[in-house]
Amino acid sequence: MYRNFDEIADSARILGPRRAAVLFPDDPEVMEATAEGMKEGLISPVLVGEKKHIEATAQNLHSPLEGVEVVDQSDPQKAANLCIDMVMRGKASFVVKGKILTTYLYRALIRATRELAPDQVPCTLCFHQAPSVNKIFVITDPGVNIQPDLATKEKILANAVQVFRALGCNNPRVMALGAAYLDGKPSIAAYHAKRLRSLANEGRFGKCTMVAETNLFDLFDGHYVQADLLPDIFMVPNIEAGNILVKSIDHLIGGIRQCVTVGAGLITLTPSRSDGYEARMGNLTLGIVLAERCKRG
Amino acid sequence: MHASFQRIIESARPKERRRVVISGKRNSAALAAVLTAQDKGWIDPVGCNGASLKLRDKMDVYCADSDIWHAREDALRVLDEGEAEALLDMGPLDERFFSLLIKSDTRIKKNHLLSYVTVFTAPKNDRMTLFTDTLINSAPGLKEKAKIIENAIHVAKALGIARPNVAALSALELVNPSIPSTLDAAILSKMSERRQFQDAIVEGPLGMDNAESGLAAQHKGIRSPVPGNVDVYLFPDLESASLTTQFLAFLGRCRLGGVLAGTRVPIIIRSPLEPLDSWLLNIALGLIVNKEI
Repeated sequence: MYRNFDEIADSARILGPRRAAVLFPDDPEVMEATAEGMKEGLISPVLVGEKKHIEATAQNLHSPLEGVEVVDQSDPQKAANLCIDMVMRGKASFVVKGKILTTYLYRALIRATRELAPDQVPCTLCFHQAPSVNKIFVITDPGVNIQPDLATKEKILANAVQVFRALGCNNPRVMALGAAYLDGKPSIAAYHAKRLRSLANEGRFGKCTMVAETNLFDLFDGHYVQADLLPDIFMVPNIEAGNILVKSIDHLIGGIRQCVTVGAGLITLTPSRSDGYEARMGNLTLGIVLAERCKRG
Repeated sequence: MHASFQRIIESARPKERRRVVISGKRNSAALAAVLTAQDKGWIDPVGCNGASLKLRDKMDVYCADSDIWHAREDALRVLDEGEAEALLDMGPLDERFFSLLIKSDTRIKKNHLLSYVTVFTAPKNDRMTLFTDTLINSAPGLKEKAKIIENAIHVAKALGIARPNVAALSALELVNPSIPSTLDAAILSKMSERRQFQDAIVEGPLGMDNAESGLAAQHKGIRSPVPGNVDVYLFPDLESASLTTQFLAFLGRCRLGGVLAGTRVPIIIRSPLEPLDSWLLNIALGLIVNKEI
């Protein structure tokens, strides 16, 4: 299992170029990362969006588009559907989200997941590296499912465990997070955590170890974080808690965050629209490794 | 200790010592902090629990009932009768304790509600920052959020932040009817525009990325003085506040303290999310925030 993003980047460079469908690349940082990814031999891109905007952005950055396939599609939903179809048909290894509302891409991915694997739900997996611990961990789902019920959380967890095992972690440690209320009653998330743990013990999610604690305070009992005890996968109660948490890790703690959204084995890279060039380059290398390790079929 | 926390400790000393009644289950870290605060000239402690008997040579003991609930009721009576100016409760913190606390008008400000404000210095930018509500209100509605903001503004001002910038957080910066916290945040932001929070600025909804980075906010077309300059983060609910605070404490190795807000007198407690050595900081925060008493 990879311990940090440098190891992932090294692995991606060895794996070599993958076809990436870049959705709405008409943003300087997206275009720069795409051009650099191409120059470094990481990706062979197909650019999908409004052609005149794509060309203007490339021109402003002095990044010639010679030899790069551009698909002219100004409708964001049609463009997102097109990109997902490319991955479904094996014409691209993954989708890279550019300057577009994530909702369009999620909609396309949900449709494709229903078609290919009706028993699954797509979910966002945010991979993190924090300064205090040499370990990569995942937080899910801060992106797709707004207020998942227990059945949806089962599917999210199954998805996350599968991806982690594909990355070489044979027995991922899992924690379902939930707050303790003052009245002593468990929150819905804490109740879900208990049920998920029973299901994990029955083997519902494949080999994984689900810890009994629902917060870091109980897990570490006032001591510093130890990498081997830190869970590999954290499941958050809902999109609000998840989204705020994942962004706090890089914006307040100074960690690194790389987000992908996965459904039916289809990989889409979903950085925040505010992510800069470096984050986007790192995202490309994670996409390459995931596309290789989670090959469909 | 971080410089901003050192400043809090240095400025905690009141003009006259405050009489602080000590209640709850014995906690040696809390008692050590009480004795340090006594040595520093901040407080005159008054024991109101069985554990205080052992400290008879160091402080007055009003009640030494071994039942912490009887002792707590006595401690609060001492407070209500004006024989003490503050309370320090060593825990356990549960609904019964807070129900007891809110029974008296002496302790809680009129038309206010109790909320908890976590104070920390973010490792990334070294700025003293406040999170709220990290302990009490599990699923606050709009009305409660407005009061939680008022409480946090009071704390921020007491800590020297003259015109606090408040980020009303949500999962995204767009108003989405499927996510109620985006609606609450938008309304709070509009209330602020109409100066319903006096000179504090509330901006929302904001995702954590565009709250924390002015550049990220600009990238998403948000024009506001708050992004990149946030003093107070208002969380949608306790779940999101608690999770973020614990990751900050454990993975960010961030020093935390906290203060109960909305009270008439300092009620000093320690949230389970804070390390044991935050008791002294919390005493200082309690005294500073309620300085006018």
